[in-house]
Amino acid sequence: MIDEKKLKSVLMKKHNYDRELALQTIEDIKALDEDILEAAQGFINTDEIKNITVEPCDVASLIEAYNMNPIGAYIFIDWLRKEPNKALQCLGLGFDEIKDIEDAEEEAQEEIGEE
Amino acid sequence: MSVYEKIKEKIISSAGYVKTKVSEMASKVQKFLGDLYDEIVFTPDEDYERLEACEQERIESCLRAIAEVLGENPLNRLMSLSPQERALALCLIVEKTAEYMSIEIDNIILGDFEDINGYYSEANRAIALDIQRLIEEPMTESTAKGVLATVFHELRHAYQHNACKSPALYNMDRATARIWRTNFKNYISPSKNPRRYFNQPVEQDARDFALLVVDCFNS
Repeated sequence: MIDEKKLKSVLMKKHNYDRELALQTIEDIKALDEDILEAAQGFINTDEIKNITVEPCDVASLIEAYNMNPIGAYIFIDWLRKEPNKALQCLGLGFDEIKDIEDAEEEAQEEIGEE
Repeated sequence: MSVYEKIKEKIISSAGYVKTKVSEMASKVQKFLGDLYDEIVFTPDEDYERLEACEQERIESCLRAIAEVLGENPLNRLMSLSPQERALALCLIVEKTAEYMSIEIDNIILGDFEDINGYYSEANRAIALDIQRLIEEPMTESTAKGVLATVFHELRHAYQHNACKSPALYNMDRATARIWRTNFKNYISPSKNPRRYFNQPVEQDARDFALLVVDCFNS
């Protein structure tokens, strides 16, 4: 059973997710396969990272090579299992980012303050 | 005749007057609210054919910049250059494309980012590219394509940033601009949720745009 309130608080305060993304990510976590969900919950409760492999990736290497947040890595591994072509396309193309989005960052800070 | 029928008849007989008044009021509200009007009362664009032609022009701007800097066989040319020459060539492509597309790029950063290919900084109007792929020796065709795709992917983010502020000026339909604006405010980084990062509108669009450009040439 997932304690959504606690999970939202952990995602926002500890992992710096903004409110909207925290809520979306909670939905993604609820939809994880059972073994991946168990590992993700273990990480949320104890900070312990249980490695899960879905060829050709594993959680530990996603965290190491792509600097993924462990929650993000569990979501990716689940995605790779369910939609391998799309997930591998994503990995093959590589990642980029849009940085310094001032409004969004300000809003995220305000949300954390309200919690 | 019932009261309701009388009212209905009265409304029908004065429809022209009501329509004019409503139109006048809308015009006054629009003038008063300025850009905010579009946020509240949204009407989609109708000149899609012109907007599609503008999108094609933007692709051609990118191809023109590539041709001017790297010639007829851009992949082969990029692969044959030294790492320093490649860096210079990519900076020139960014500058020229930005000029042709009327977008402002103040800085081009080349750095070792390890986990990402590049980034676009909205506040600093900067495009950053990972130098590791750039200095790969010998550079493969796949890497050359990937590097150019990253350049146009990040340039597209710069365009999106401009277009969602002034869709008319940048010839983008207002519905798309509105979606981008919302996405920019709720941008999802790959490290936090890679699946939602991949599927968010600004990333999908930048990926498709870069692919359209890069698929136009082969070595």
